[in-house]
Amino acid sequence: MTTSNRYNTPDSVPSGTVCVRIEIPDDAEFQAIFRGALLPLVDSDSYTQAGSLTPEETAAAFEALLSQWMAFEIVDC
Amino acid sequence: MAQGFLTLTIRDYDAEAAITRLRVPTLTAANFDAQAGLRQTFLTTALAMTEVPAAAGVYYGNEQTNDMLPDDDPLSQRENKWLVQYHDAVTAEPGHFYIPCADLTLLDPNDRAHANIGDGDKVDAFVTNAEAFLETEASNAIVVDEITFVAR
Repeated sequence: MTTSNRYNTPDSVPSGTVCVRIEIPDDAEFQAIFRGALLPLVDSDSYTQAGSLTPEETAAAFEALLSQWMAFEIVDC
Repeated sequence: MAQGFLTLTIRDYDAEAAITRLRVPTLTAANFDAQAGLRQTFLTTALAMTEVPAAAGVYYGNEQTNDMLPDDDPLSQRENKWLVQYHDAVTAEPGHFYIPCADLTLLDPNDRAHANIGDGDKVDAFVTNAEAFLETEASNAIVVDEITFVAR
C-alpha cells in the first residue's frame, strides 16, 4: 500500500537542468512561504517509488539544487 | 529532566514505518556499557517476536524534557523556520535541517531571505557551535553554508 499525496519517482536523474521564471508577491513573508513550498522536494518521504529511482535518490537530485534555490537571487522579469 | 529513550522503527512489506518509543534508564557514563548490552539483547528478543529480521532504525539516548508550556511571545511561530544548509567537510555531500520559531530580527538587514552570518553575535555563535557539535551521515564534520528564512 502506498501513501497518497506523494510524488512518483522517475527512472533517472537527467544530466542537465533548466531555469524557469516564476513571479511571486514582493514581500518577505510571501517569499518565505514560496521557499517553504519547495522543501517537500528535498524530503525523501515526499516520494513513492514508481520508477527506477528510489525516493532517496530523487530527493538527492533536488537537494543538489537546494543551495541555488535558497540563494534566492531576485532578478528582473 | 533527562530520561533515556529507545525508539525502534520497523518498516513493513509495504514500506510503511511503525515506530515504538520506549522509556529506559537515563544513560550515564557509569551505566552506558551495561545499558547498551541490555538494549542489544532486548532488541534481538523483541525483533524475534516480529516478521522482520532487523529494525529499520534504532534511536537510543537521553532526552531532555523541559517546560512544555507555550511560548509567551506571539512572534514565536513554528511555521517560521531557519533552513540550515551545510555540506560534509570531507565528501562535500549537501544536507540540511530546520530550526522552528525563527527570530527574524536575526535576518541580514541587506538580505531579508537569510540569517546574518557574520553578525559577530547569535548567528555566528550558532554556526561555530553547530560545526563543532554536529556531524553528517558519513560521520564527518559539517560546514554551514547558508541559513534561510522559510515559512512552512
